[in-house]
Amino acid sequence: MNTFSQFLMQLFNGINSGSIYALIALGYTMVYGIAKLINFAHGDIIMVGAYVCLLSINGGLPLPLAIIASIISCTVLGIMIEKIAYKPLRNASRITLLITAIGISYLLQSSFQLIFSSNSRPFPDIINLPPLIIGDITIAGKYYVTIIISVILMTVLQLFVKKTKTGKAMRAVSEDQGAAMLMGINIDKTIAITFGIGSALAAIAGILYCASYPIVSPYIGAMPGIRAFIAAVLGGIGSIPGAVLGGFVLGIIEALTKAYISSQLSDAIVFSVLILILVFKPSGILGQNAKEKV
Amino acid sequence: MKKIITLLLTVFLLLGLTACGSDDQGEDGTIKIGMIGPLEGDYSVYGTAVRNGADLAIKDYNEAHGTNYTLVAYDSKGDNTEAVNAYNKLVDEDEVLAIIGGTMSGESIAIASASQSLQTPIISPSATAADFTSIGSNIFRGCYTDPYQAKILAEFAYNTLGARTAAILYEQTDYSQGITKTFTEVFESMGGKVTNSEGYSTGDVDFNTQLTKIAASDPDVLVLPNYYKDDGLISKQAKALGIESTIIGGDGWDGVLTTVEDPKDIEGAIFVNHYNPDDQKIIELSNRYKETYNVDINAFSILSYDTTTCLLQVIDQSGQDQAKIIENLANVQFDGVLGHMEFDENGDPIKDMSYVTIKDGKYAAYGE
Repeated sequence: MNTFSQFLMQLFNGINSGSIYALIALGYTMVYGIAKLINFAHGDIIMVGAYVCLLSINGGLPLPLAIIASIISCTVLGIMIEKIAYKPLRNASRITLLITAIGISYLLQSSFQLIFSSNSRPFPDIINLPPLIIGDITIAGKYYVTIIISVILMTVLQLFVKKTKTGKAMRAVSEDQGAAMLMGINIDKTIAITFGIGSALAAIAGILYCASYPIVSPYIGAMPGIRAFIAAVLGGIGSIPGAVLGGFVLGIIEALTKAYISSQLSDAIVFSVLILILVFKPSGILGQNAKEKV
Repeated sequence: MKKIITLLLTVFLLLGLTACGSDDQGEDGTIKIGMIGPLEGDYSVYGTAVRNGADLAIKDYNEAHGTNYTLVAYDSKGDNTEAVNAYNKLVDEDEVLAIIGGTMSGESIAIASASQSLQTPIISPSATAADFTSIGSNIFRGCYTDPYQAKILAEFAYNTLGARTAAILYEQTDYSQGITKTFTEVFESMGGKVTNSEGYSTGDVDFNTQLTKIAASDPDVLVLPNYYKDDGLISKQAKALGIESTIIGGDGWDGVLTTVEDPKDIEGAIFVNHYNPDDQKIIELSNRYKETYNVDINAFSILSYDTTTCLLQVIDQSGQDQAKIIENLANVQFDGVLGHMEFDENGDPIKDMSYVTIKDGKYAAYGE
């Protein structure tokens, strides 16, 4: 394999992990845009999605039904979390909400650990497509499927937010809740829909994640959750294209650092790059500078 | 309402009193042995195996000798600070005579350092990091060390498998880095070449970047000196990238079959281990273990079983004198299910080791 195809292969590895970060980052960024809340429980919804899918398959459901079951239960869970934990605190300080979000994250992890024990379980091979071979590059089926599904979902989401009435309502709430309410937009419903969509995306991300890395445990959501959160901040939290871009940038930087600088120091280098970007562009790559209102 | 609260408080008080009461009674006849390991979390397979092994050994020993030992096990969650907390609780509150543990290398070093003022006899069935036993004369272990298994693994790769090039993909932990270091030294001193030495962070699940580099150098063996959860994932991704090198590893591999969906992904992998799965004594112990705890036995439980039995024998000779226990452990000649064991001047065991391979989706002795 020559140096160039080696480089392409590494770039592809980065795009693959980046597409999962991007998919998860969408959930963070949507919720932040509308509720001004960093929903740390988002990573654990990924884990719930993976478990529901695994249990449905083990229970004998065919794959499409298992995926639908997983999406529905995560959507319901996301809306429930919002109703029970966040809605009563809507006018509380941001730090209270943040701590509540961390609490929910631990609650989900611990309750799944109680129910299913902390042992890792193997996740079945659900994507069995032939590998794509271009020249001397081989791309396994589950990886290109992950990328394709992610890109489709991101496009659909972007269109939904830009073109539909509900999307318009979401943007209005995100800009100014008070004014949106005066215009007759149902704030509660809009926020609930946002949480629902974010959690549905998390369910799909969880299934794709476990299809690529076939191990399920109550903690699997933590690492990708944190990475995706960073991706969302990097791209400009609150912005949908920003989350997507941030996810891919983070994935690619990570892969190229591991490949060409040092796999031992990759985390240190990746995070230094992130700090640098945020020093020069504090609102993230695509984030808008918030003007202080006088 | 007030009445209910008073009633509840009284009940709690009474419960507290009875708990204290039974504690006092316990000190009359029973001798407490402590145990520390990850009973929850990612590495819980190891911790529960050590606990079950020690538990079974104590039951067997009590039955055979009419003694009254009990096990007090605390969770370290695989975390060094939690492990030291567990140690303090064992010596302060439970006043144990000796400790089986820790289970993982990192936490064991933490406990060993914390035990230096009290000189509690500590014997770990599974801590393989080199430094562990040199921390103090009260520290022993029932398993061979990381450098020792790495040396054996390197010699096995070079001599038995005829490998001349090797790539290593290791987790950045004491355990995996320890094996990587010695393997590289020994393998290169024999004339082999380590083509890639790649690291990854704990919790990573994507190894494609490192494996893409490794695939380009096409080594004879791929060394995965990690715990089994990652080894299964790495092997699968390596296969998907078309890497056909023989995969070898250390004792962290034991338990790997519980986390792979399709054993084909690790078929043919070879790892050095503490026991031979075909041995009659091991088979008998495995069956009894499975009946009692409803899980399959692994190296950690067997080592823990042997180590605990050895410790109990020594305690019987020494009485409840911790200094005497340490002295007698240093000179013990023990014969258990894993064969003969004695300790060198560091507290490291002198014993044999086995090679295990994955054959038809099951563990088997290599070369038979």
